Amino acid sequence: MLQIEKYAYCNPLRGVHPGEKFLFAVATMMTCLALNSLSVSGIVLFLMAGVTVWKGSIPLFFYIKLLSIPLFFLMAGTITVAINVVHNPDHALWSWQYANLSFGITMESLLACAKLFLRSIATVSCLYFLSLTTPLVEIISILRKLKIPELFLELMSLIYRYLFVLLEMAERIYSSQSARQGYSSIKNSYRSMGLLASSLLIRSHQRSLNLYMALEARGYNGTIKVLEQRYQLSKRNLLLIAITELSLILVDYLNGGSL
Amino acid sequence: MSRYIFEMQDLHFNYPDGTAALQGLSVSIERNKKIALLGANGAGKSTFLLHLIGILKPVKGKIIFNGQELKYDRASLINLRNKVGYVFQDPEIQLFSASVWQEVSFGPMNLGLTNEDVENRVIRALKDTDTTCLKDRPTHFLSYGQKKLISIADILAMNPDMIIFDEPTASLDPKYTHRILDLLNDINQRGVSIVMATHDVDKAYEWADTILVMKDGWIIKAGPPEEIFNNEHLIQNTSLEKPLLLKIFKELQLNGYLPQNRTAPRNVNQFIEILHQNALNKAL
Repeated sequence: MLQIEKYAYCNPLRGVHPGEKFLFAVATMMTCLALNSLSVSGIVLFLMAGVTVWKGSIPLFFYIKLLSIPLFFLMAGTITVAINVVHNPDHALWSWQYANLSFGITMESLLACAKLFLRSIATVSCLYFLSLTTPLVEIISILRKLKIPELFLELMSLIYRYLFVLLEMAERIYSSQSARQGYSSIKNSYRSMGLLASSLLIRSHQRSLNLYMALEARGYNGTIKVLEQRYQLSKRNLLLIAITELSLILVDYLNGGSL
Repeated sequence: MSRYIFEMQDLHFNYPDGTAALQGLSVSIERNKKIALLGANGAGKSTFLLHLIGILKPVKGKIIFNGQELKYDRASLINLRNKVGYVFQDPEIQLFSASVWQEVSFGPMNLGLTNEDVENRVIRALKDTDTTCLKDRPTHFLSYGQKKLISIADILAMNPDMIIFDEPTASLDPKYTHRILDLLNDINQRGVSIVMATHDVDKAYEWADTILVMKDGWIIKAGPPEEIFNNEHLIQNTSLEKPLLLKIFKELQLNGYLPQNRTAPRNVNQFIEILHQNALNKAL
C-alpha cells in the first residue's frame, strides 16, 4: 500500500489538474461499463495501462503485479458465469449430468464470461490510473467540489492521515514486542498480537483526545477548513479526454455493438 | 498596553486522578521576551503551558491576558488562541492533514481571512521555516525533524503575538536543534514573545532572556539566566544543573586563572574571547 502512495505523490502526472485525471478515469470507466463490449473493454485496458505505465512512469512489473491482485476474485466470479444449467446439452461445448440437471458451458456463456472478465479488469485499470497518479488528498478535494457532504470528507482525510500514524505505532509496538521474544512461539504470538491490538486501541483513543486539543489550540470550531491547492485546467487535456471517449463509442458503433 | 502579556495569580489545578499539578503558581510574563521554562519531569510545565491557551482551566486563581482577566467563553478563547500559538512537543499530535499545504493553511483559515491572504501566510510560513520544498509532500513521508518544522510553520502562519514551545528540541539531532533555536530567535526579533519549556540548561542559559524555574506545581524562581544559575541554593533545591560553560568559568575564576571581576560569558564565543583577552593581558 505504501508503494502505491509513493507513486501517487511522485509521478510525472502529479502536476496535472486532479480534476482532469478524475474525469479521465471516471468517464472512461463509465463508457466501458455502459458499452459492455469486448473490444472496447480491451482497448480501455490497454489504454489505461499504457497511460499509467508510460505517462505515469509506473514500473511495468509493479503494475502487472497490482493488476494480478483482483485476478483471483475475478476468476472465481466469472467462472460461475461461464457454467450454466443447459437445457439442450447438444448445444453446449461441454456439459455433464448431475441428478436431473445438466450443467455446461455454451458459446454464449463463454462470451458473457469473457465480456464480464475483460470489463471488470478494464474498470480496475481505470481506478488504478487514478490511484497511482493522484494522491488521496487531491481526490478528496475533487469530491469536495462535487459537493459530497463535508462530514464524510473530513472523516476520510482524518482516517487517511491516521492510518499512517497507527501503522507506525503498530510497527513500533511489534518491534518492541519481538525484541522481548513476544513472537518466539505460537502461544506467545497470539498473546502479543492481542496485547498489540488492545494497546493500539487505547492509544488511538488517547491520540484522538490529543488531536482534538491540538486542533482547538489552532482555533478549530467544528469544521476543518483548509486551503486547496490551485491547479491549471488544460484545454488540451480536456479535448483529449473527449476525443478518447468519443472514439470508444465510435468503435462500439462500428462493431455494431456485437463484440 | 500593559508591560506583561500574561499575569498568573495563584493558579491551582488538579487532574481527574487527583494529582495536584499546579499549586499556587504566580508569575508575570513580559512581552517580546525569550523565556525558558525549566523544571524536572512532572513539575507541571506542560500543565502550566496548556493554561496559557485556555485548554486547561484553573480550579482556583486567575489569568490576566493583555491586562484583562481571561474568560472561558467561546469568543474569549478564540481571541486568546488567535494571539497565542502552541507548538506541541510531538508533531505527530499536531499534524492532522496528509498534505503539508493543507496542514499549514488550517490555522489561518480559522482566522477568517480571505483565501488569498491565507495563501500568502502559508507561503510565508513555509519560507520562514525553510520548508517550501516540502509543500507538495505528504506529511507521512516527512522525517521527524521536518515534521517539527511544519508544526512550527502551522503556528507561524497564524501570526500570533506569542508562541509557546513545549520542548521544541527534544529528540532532534544537533543540526535540527540549532536550526530550531535560530528560528526561535528570528521569530522573537519580529516582536513575538516566546516561551519554551526545556530540559537543556546549557541551551536555556545561552538563549533565554528570562528563566522560570518550576517545581512541585509552582514557579519557585524567575529571573535572568545569570541570576538563576549563580543561585547555589536554588540549584541545590531543584533538579537544575549548572550550565557547563558557567561551571568551567567559575572553576577557572576560583582557582585564579581568570580575574574575579569578569562577568560570566553567555556562550562559547564570549568565553573564547575572555580567554584570549586574559592571555593577552598576561603576556603584556
